[in-house]
Amino acid sequence: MYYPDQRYASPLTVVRRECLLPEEAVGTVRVTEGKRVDVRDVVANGVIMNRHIILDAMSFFGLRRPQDLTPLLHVEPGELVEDRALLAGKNPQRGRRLFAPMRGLVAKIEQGRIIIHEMPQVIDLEAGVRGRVVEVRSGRGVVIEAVGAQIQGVWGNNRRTIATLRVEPEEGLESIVEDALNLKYKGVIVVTMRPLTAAALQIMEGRGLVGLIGPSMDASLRERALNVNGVIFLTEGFGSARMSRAIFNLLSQFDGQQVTIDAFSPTRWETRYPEIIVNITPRGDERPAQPNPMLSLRPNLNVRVTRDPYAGQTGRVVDLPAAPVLLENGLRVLCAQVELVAGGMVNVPLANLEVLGR
Amino acid sequence: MTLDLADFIIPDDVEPTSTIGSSVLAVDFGSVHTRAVLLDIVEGTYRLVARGETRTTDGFPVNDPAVGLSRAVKQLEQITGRALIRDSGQIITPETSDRSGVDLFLVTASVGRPLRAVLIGLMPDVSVMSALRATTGNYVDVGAILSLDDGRTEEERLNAILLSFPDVILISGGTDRGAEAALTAMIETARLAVSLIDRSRRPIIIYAGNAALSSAVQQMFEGLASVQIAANLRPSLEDERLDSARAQLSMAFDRYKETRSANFVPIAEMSGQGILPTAQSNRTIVDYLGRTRRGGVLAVDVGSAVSSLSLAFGAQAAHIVRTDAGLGHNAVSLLETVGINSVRRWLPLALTDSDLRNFVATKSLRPATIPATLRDLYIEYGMLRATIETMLSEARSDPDIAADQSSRLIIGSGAALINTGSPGLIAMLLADSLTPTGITTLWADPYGLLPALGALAPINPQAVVQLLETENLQPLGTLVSLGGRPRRDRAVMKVRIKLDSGETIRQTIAGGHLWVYPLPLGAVAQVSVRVRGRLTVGGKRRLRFRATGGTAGLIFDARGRPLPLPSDLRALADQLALWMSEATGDPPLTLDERLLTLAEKHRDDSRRADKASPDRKRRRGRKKGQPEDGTPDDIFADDLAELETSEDEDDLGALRRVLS
Repeated sequence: MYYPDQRYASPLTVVRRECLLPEEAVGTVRVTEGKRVDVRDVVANGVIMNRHIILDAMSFFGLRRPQDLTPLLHVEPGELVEDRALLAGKNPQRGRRLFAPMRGLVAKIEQGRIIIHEMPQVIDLEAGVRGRVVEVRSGRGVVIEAVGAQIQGVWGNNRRTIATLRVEPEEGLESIVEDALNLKYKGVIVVTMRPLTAAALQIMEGRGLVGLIGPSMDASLRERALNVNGVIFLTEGFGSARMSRAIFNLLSQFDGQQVTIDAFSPTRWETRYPEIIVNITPRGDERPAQPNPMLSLRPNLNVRVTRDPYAGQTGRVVDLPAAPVLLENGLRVLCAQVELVAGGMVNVPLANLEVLGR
Repeated sequence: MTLDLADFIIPDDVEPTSTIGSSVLAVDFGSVHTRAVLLDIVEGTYRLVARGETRTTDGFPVNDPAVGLSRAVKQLEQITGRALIRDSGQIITPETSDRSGVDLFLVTASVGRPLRAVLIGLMPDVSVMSALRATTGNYVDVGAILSLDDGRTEEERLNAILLSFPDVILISGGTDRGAEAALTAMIETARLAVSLIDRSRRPIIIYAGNAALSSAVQQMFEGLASVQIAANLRPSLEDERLDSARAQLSMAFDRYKETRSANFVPIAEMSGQGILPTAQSNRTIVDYLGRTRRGGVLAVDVGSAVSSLSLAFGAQAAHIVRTDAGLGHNAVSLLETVGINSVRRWLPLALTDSDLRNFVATKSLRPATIPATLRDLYIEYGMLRATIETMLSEARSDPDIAADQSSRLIIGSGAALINTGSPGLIAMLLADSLTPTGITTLWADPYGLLPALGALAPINPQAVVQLLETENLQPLGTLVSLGGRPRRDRAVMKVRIKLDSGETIRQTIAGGHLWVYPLPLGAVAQVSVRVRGRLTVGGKRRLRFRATGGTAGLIFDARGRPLPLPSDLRALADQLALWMSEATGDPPLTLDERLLTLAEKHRDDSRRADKASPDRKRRRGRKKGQPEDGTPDDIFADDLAELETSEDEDDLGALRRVLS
């Protein structure tokens, strides 16, 4: 039995959204299991450690013993201090006084030294979906179950946003630049079928878009994409692949609707996927099918091919031959016989198939 | 092969015992695959009874490695008809009277993030260098290195530690009974840093410095962090002792897996032995084989996220673990590590650097996929070969290893190398990237048996000896490699294979070619080889030996060393296709003409950049077109004729006569 990769692309499903702080963050989860949350609710707070400054107060004041510093102190460990705030001095108004070199936290006072933690990066983690907390991961975040559309991609620039989704104008992204009065795209996330270019990133920043969903971009743009002011989300990979028609059509259904994008950037060691979620209220008691993470490959299953020569094409599994198949490149591997939507029956290595959910 | 129990180095805290039961279930969690093997006594000796393999389920959508474990073990149940796992997912231990369960459950892993380490030492070329070497055999990413003369202030050192977010701090420095003050000051900075880290994230401290400070270090970190004491890495300037620090790093890896990687906690608990790093287990077996086999052993494993290479000659060994090089998850950093030109020399393709970077970036997003076109295959095999070449060169730079030694036994593992469906292709890829000379036995480890044996060795070494003696690893066959630079398409190697059935096969092999005789698994043959001119096989012009067969057979590599990769693009495409065809027996594959035409410009560009390379300078010493088999053809013809005429004589007598 073979268990293929899964990458969900579903217009209506039960979404299990992992809402987690970065691994380096030290955090606290603010909600409990079973609690209902809305899109903008903060589910966890965290801080990521920043630079520390060592202030040698003992030598600053010319003290002989560390304990001589105690009567001079105006702060204590854990205290938040502003830039230029008084830390120590016999008289707070005059004389020799020690001030904070920047805004931060007094991390420690020991051996006549004051250690300031430059104001750490604070993260307020929003739920991003309307749903129910089904799991709490202590210190890291929560898993929320919601109903809606879920479209997973392959790469993101590690940013999140909640905004309206718009399909690009027929003339392409560039036309947004030409029409200075067109505010339709300001503050929205734009979907384009074409590969993202440096110009597209520039348009996003210049025209006030909050995000771009595209099929691919050149790997040389990766660093820039990680630093742009907005969300970048890729559905296919790096290079010049165009967006698969099935994904574009699905995204187009949500033109004008509010979506949540978690453009998670996959790391070498973490296999979460970036994803787009659209909250949908089901009609009546209708409850969509829950994705099955244990799904095994079998005939009649709809799949997407993930490598050349059929990369991005969708199809249906027709047969699963038991013996390895000789590929055009000389490898002999286990394959599935797939009937492509675009036409044709092809052998695809099992490892190169992805299930789109269910 | 003669193997000896006494050659295992058993850690002090493990007592090999005969009371250990017989059956063993060993599971290895790789980044992409989870492999399970069932080992048991069959007719008085340990055998590999069954194996299972499935996708690792540590990530989306399952997010639980225990599911992959269960799937792999259920495959073993189907094969053997034996119950091994309960519905709850619990492995049944010990074995019961109805033969359900196993006596021992072992777990190794290379999946997941490696340990993030900060190294602290005194002298960069002494204690720090040793600390770095101690990390090479483990899954460790070194985030920062602090030493006395690193030019940093105390504050900068503090921030270097804190912003590396370390899982472990390895402190070395000071010879035993040597200076203490300088090291104490460095440790004090580490203590301050640890005290500033949230309690839930504090790193493990491994102390491997001046032994006189061991108890002081424990006191300094008391109540702050867990301290593990190892033997001093440099007890004196002349001595280096890495084993103890390496063992402590492995223990730290186990603790990290158990405490920080919550999904592995129940698996580690079931094992009882914890979770061992796969590379460490492989290393145990390579060290052992290095001690017991003549001629040295080399094991290479190219994974999706991590690659490793171990080399052992007698008691001397070098182990390389690259946590930044893999063909899947780590494809991007692999390309940075080995360099684009190292990959490009294997590519007859229309690829710009940008194309190549796009390819690897996309591969890293779908790490489990396999090449389905010839273009993709060339790129991935180019990356594979370049990775192995880089690791080999790194291992050979180890002062303990003589750089020109060639291993007699090579073991290959890792899905990209092994899952080709063609043993001949695996053999060719090993020959291409390791370029052994002389006679080499080739094994593959498609079942993840090596890590299982390494994990089993401290507990039941006898079982390991028995499993290695029998053909539980997959024998690919015997590789006979010609050294020197043969003239292309001229007869350079004359081979005679005498089978046990009495049948004799003769073959003349031309320079620049491979020839494979499909001597099957388990078969043995008497092989005579004669080569022309100044060419040699392992330093000899004529030799005779008994060779064992394998899934590939007997592979004769008359391509010479270094491998003659054509500089012309079309010639390279033809050459690679021909070698692949000769190795596999399949017809040569033709590359789309468009891919070749466009590529010429880019290869020319990279060749211009390569003009100043040391290899090229060395080549200038030899007259163009003058190979080392530059003896006149007729002399070689005489030699061949001599071998032909001697075929009715006793083999040994004939060979003696020729040799005289």
